[in-house]
Amino acid sequence: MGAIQNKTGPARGPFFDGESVTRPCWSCEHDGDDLYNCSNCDKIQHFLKDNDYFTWFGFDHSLSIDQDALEKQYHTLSRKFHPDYFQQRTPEEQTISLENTAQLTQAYRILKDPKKRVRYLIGLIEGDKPMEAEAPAELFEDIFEIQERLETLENIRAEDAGQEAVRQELKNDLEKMQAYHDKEDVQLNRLAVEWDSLEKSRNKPTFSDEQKAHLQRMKKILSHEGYLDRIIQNIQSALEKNK
Amino acid sequence: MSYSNKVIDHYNNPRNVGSLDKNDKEVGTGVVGAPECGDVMKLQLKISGGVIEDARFKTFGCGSAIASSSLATEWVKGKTLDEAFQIKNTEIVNELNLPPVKIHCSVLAEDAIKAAIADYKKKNE
Repeated sequence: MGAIQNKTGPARGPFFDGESVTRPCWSCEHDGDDLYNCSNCDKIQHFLKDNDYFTWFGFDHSLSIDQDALEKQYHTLSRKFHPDYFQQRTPEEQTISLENTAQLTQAYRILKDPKKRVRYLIGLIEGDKPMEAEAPAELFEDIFEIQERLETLENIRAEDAGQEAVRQELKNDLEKMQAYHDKEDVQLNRLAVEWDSLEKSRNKPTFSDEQKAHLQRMKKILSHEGYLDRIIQNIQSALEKNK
Repeated sequence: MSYSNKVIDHYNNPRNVGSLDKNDKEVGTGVVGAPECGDVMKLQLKISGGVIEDARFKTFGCGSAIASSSLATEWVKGKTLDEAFQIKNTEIVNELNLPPVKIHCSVLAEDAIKAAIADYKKKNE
């Protein structure tokens, strides 16, 4: 399951265009592609701008991540960049240590959460993230009925006959939407597994059309899930409120 | 962004809100939605002898979506199916002065008319 690209050291260089990107060391101006320290003067370096969260942690772009390796690498890098170790250093080094620490924490949070990880990967490769919420077209009739029931429940008093019937219908709706959400999740996981096997067998610097098609499908699913989350929450809070 | 007076008028006094019996053979029902905002619209037409006698709508969505569907029900009444099918979303945009971000609401109304007609035709094949 785990996907560390290189056990002896972190991955180097940018991932997408296959060209090596270097940056001059801010201190000694040595041109290098080192991830964390200048290979010439050993001074701490900014993360390479063209690299990404996966690369910072030494991972390839697989969607399954070895959680133990993630934790371990997070702690290793946290120690490496920790501002406490730079208190006696130059202001430049202190600034870099602070910035790297902040970016590292952000990267760790994203990579740790499987859904955030997929969103991030899509944003990274496609240039834009999935929409927060997009209703699945085949559900519009259900959605309309749910909206009608939510409206009815809002306007009906607890003692009125019929309230229980509406509540029951909404509970059924809730189950149906959750089942749809689960189905989307299964699909998402399947695509992620396929993505990983495409990624492992990739021997070109660029992503294949098939990989990009997978990203598009994952993007759609995430948007649908965003919408379903919202409607599920609406039903739940309406049932809670109108007891 | 502010709504035009016509949108506000339709929003405050929506025409033809309600529903018709969807099991009636003379009634065509169209339920459409906008994936981006989650707005949903139901438009129903009662058709007799190829002419739209009555129309009803219900929309869960923003003011522009409500106004677009309200206007659509006004326009289709008395029209033949072919005439109603010709109604373009751009006419709704012009009539209501919809801003660019709300054009999709008019598209929804046009789609709803077409969906209702298709449902009627399917029922009466």
